[in-house]
Amino acid sequence: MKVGLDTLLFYLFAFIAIPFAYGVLLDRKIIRAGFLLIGVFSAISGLFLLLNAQFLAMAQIMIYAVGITLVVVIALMLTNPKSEDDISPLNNWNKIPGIVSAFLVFITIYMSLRAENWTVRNPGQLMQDNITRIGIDLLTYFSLPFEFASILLLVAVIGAIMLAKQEKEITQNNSDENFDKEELTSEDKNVIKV
Amino acid sequence: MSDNNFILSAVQHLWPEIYIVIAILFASLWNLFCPSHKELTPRVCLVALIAAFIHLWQQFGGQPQLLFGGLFTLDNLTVCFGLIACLVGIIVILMSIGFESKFRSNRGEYYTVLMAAILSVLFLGGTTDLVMLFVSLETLTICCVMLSGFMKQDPKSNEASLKYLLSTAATTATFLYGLSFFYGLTGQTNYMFIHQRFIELGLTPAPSFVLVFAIVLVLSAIGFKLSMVPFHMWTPDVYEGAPTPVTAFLSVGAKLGGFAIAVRLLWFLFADMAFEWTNIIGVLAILSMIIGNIVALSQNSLKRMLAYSSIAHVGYILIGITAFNQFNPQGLAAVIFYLIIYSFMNLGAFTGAILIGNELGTDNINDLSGLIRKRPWLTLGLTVCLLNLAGLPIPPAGFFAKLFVFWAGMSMHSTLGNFLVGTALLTSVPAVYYYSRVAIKMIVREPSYVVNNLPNKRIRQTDPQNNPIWALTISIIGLIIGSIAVNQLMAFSNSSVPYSLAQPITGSLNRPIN
Repeated sequence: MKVGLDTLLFYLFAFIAIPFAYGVLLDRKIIRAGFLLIGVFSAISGLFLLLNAQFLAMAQIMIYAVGITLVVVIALMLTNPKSEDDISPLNNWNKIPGIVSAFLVFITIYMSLRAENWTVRNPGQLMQDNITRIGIDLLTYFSLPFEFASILLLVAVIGAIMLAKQEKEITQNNSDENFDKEELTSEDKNVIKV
Repeated sequence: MSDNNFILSAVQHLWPEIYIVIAILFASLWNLFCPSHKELTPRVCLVALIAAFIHLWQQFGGQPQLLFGGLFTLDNLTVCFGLIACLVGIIVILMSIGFESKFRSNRGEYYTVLMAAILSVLFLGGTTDLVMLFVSLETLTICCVMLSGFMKQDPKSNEASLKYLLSTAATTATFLYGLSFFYGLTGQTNYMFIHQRFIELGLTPAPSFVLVFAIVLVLSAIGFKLSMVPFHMWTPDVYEGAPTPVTAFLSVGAKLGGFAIAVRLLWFLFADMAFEWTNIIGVLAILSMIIGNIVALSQNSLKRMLAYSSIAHVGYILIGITAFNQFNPQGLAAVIFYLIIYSFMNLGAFTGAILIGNELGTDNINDLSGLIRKRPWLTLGLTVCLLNLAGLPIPPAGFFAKLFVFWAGMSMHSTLGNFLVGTALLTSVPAVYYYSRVAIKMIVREPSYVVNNLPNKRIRQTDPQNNPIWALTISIIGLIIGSIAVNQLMAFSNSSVPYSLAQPITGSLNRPIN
């Protein structure tokens, strides 16, 4: 059987992606995990490129490998977490249920994927100008979710600003007395008195 | 795709949604430019919701239409879910007016996010496309996450928001993974085309392993949204930590969205494979009823008790979903009837909790004793809602709701159906106990220390804290109407059931199959 170039490339990308993904999971230094994530996303975008999905490949690099990972890394640099010392590693006994269930999930997914007769299309049959096609689809058939996503983004931005902005600390004698009272049920109050 | 007029003609049917979008934009900007007239924001939201309600009401009974080439289906079921969502929105906004002082400077943002959540429920009701389903579900989820974190100074609220975010992120991944299998198998995102492809590929009514796997993934995500029992672990903490109006919305509005997905997805795509999933849903329903009711027994916080009991109510509603099929449309009608009545009674109970919290500063059940001597109307209203939640016929709306669901379960004529109804009847006994315990405490017992310290008269000014009274009044009126006009309401629910299930509705499907 002749092995094509794309098959070789597929294995190459998979060979990059999987160890990097394990690295993200297992690395105790969270900043290094963030950088490993870039490798995972780049390899996946290579897989998209093999499938003739140029737009997805570019979106993967621009949004995930650059945008999101960069935000993660910058956020880590700004907050300077010392968390790697705080995480107490699970002892081996606690790992066993995790390993068993992960193995079972893997078996289930593998079996279900292999048992299926997938209708495979030759990538050559796909439209060459798939970016044009995506653009047309987004503005015709998918116009409603496309527009609705803008409301989602608007609301998400408003909510994110709301959560992140700094507010005055509460003082006991301003109008938020109710708020403090509600916090404590009468039982709690008794406990505090005692 | 030569003419794009179909977009224009479709937008004409989306006026209710457009009203709400206008309110979202207004709410997001108004407090910024006119901070001295803050009280206008909720009013504009109310007007928009009422306008949307009226518009939806006029759309009810029209011919089923496929908008955007089948992406959004406008039929009686969509309109019905929209009507309930608008009602829920109106009541939640009314109760929020009495609560918003706790949001401090974020009041406008609160209404923006709340309206977006209501909008996404409206869209979830009619979506018949995986992409639209995912976008609207994500909007609903993200809005709910943000809403539960709105009391920024309260560590409990922050905890609720974070817990919800983490567990919902995992669920979303599961859900999307399941959906990707549907797309991978069929190459389509539209429900009708997916169903058509299932038939062509011979996957229905005998699904392959992948399909079953995907259905289980999707079911688990729906179970999370509805907080069915194995997926309920987030519910009590989130419900307790979130601001009370948000809890009310989560327990009714967000679940409305979940039921919309369940009905559309399960009954459009998997109707022929019902035997694969009715048993799963049935078992989850039984677990939800048992655990929800038993854990609610031991709660001393009114809010937490309502949170656990809402898990049990999901169990009751699921009986209807399990019972529903082409030969037994009563099931879905009973679900819709239950959802309408449940919205009124649960929102009423949460409004009572807000009013009590505003005045007493506590929601501990033991502190409520003797409340009737100081606040007779509030006590009576809350009692009516609680007794209806328990299924007692005072007035009989809640009783009828339970009766219809049980009837639908019995008409399955199967072991599962009998078992479901049996469990429901048995678990109703603790429900009657823990609901009526609150009512009896408030009415019969001697006043507690906190209640004794209350002033005799509510301060009657233009105090916004009095606004939730209107929400309670609307809920009670709704319950009374539901009791008097049972037949009309049931006829309404019946006509909301789409009969042409799993059949591609005749209409213009503009999308070519590639």
